[in-house]
Amino acid sequence: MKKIPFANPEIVYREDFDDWAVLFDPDTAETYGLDETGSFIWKQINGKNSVADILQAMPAEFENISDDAGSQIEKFLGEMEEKGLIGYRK
Amino acid sequence: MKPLPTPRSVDLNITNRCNLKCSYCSHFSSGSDTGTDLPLEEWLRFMEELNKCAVFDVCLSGGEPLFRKDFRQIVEGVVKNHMRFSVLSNGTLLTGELADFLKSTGRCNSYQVSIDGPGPEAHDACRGKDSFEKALRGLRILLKHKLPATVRVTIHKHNVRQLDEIAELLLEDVGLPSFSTNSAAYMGLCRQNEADVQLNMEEYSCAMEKLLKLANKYNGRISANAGPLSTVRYWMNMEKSIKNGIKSRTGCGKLTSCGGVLSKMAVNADGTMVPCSQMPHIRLGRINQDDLREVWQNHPELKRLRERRDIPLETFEHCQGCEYIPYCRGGCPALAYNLNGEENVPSPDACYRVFKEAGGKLPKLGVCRT
Repeated sequence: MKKIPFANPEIVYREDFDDWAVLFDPDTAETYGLDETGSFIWKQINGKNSVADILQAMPAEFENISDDAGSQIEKFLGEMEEKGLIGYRK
Repeated sequence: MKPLPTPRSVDLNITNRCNLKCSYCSHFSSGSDTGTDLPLEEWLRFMEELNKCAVFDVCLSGGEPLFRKDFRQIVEGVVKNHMRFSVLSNGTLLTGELADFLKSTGRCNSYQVSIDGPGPEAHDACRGKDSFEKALRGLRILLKHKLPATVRVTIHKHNVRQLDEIAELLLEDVGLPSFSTNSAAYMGLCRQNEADVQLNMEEYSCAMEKLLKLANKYNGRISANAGPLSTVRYWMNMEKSIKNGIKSRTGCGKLTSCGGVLSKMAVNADGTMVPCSQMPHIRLGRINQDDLREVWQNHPELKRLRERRDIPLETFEHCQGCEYIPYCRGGCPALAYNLNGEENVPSPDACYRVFKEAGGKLPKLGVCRT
């Protein structure tokens, strides 16, 4: 069964500069920097897209997608889950 | 320097009212003394806009923020809109019940109480009868509830000789991890009561020496962003730079002291957007009528204040020939306005050369006779 990530609704997403964004968790006061790729992935997390869907959307935004992009996305999502920024629907 | 697309933090002066009338208060008789408070609905509506602008936190002040009967609903609005908050308060109206509520939100960055003396005499001299006991009670409630309590000590004529005792009270008896200091500045009511509250040269020098010693004694548990402790460190760094042959310091030589307008703004109790609570005379627009993002990005007065950082000190007649220019940042724009009538000039209050020419000496020369 596909795992569908969804964003913690409390998290604030802020684009401060052209290629840099910040996630802010108001419950912990922690901030997390996102680069361009991280921002793209965050915006794809809508409670409907699976990891495969996110991977599929990447070529429209980025060139030279690496072969292990899928596992890198999973790793990135895993780190976000650990920090309480996202959860999974099954 | 490019400003952020929206402010990260906004100071909300949620009320014009206060149960005290401290003789050095920067609010009363200033441009923020508007005489009216916005209704709750307006604040809650504005918080939705703050949320849309991805503002991280607000500072609730006044007046005395707890003077509002609907203070709790305002905090609920902050929490609902994914923000954190801090409170600037005189501490006298805090109850255990309210502290319970604040704790339950999990969103309180800090709750600052003003304590100006080791006992009622020095504290109440400027802040009114019985205010010391009530403020201290409020502080103890915060600590009991494990809220992030902070204390600001404003140094003035009535407490400048009691800094040892104040530090002992706060850091040893009460057990605060730290406290911050400032001094009564020429703003608001202090302009009328200057002779009774503001430090003269000798007192200011004394406060610098004593605070420096106390900051060392208590190993960094006393801090300052303005006032004697901040100033003495700043000026000693200037002397140290010259002594060590450092030709200039990064960011110095221009009016760079304040970066507030790059990431913060404020709102008066009547809903007027202003660059900073200390510059309430610069009216940028009205909340819920003018778009916050538009005001922040394009208001000519904000642009003018941001350009302040590019103005070289050498262009000012006041600074001509000053050897400290490569180490100087020009001081607070709000104080510059209060003392000189305009913001984009150096503040005489922060000028080391003026201090020296008036006979002021840095602590190593031992001017403090307490």
